[in-house]
Amino acid sequence: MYASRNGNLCTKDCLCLFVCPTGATDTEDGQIDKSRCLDGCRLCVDACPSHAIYLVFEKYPEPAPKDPEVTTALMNLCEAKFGEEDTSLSIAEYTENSIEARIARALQRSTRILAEDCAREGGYMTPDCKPTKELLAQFPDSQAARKLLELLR
Amino acid sequence: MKKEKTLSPVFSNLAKAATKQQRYEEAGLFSQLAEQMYVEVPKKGNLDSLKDSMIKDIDIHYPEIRKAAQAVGDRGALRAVTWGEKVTKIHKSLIARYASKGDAIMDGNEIFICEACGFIAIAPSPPNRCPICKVDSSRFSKVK
Repeated sequence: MYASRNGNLCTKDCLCLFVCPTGATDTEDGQIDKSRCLDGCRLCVDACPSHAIYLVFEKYPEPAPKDPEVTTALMNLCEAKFGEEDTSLSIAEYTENSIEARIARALQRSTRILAEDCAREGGYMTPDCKPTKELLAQFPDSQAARKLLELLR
Repeated sequence: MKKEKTLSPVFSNLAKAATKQQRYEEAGLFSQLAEQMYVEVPKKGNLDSLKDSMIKDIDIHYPEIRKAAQAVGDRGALRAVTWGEKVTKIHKSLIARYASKGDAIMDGNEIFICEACGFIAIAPSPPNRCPICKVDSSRFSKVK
């Protein structure tokens, strides 16, 4: 577990600099130096008055298994949403009206977010959870999938 | 369970999750897969056919998920239904408004989208808080 700073919340009160035993919080790029951060120390997390520092885990727990019927219903919608995304994309590409194209692009992006939510709640929650790994294993010919399985082990 | 057509959103979502965990190499690989798995749906349509598909989502898909989720008390899935159904209804009404008013709906307005739940706002500036998921305005981005 190492600390990470949310730059949007940080109010530059710099109390994290006062408490950090290794100087990991004092960097020129605004992010905490992971290589110097002490595993699970969390002094900066507790000291920060704007709650801008949080802990990122090396490994996240396995999410609760999903009911197969819930997964099926969600993935059916995910597929329908994907069709809508693709239709929106084609409208954006082929219409000659720039406003219609803009509305179609908004629908495309929004629909992708809805489809992703279905996937997440359908069980593909984290990069290293069991359903994700089982899915990746179905693509032995993909270099990216093989590399991911190696990294997520 | 393997549905090729749904895999692009599965992988793009995992890319986002990996980014949040600061696993940037994994995020890049998941993004690559999301692009590789993008299967174009052969049957193209227009805004009207898009609206028909959304009506089907509202009438069939969301109630099906709700029923299955309620049966096992899956609150995460119920949350996705609550947000997704509202956003889909907004999509549908946006298409209807555009059909009746045309380009005038954009007069003096911009399009903003909530990156957390997909809510679309047509307004001069993004809302302070998303009316659907309550995230603050920093999660809105402008659609050009």
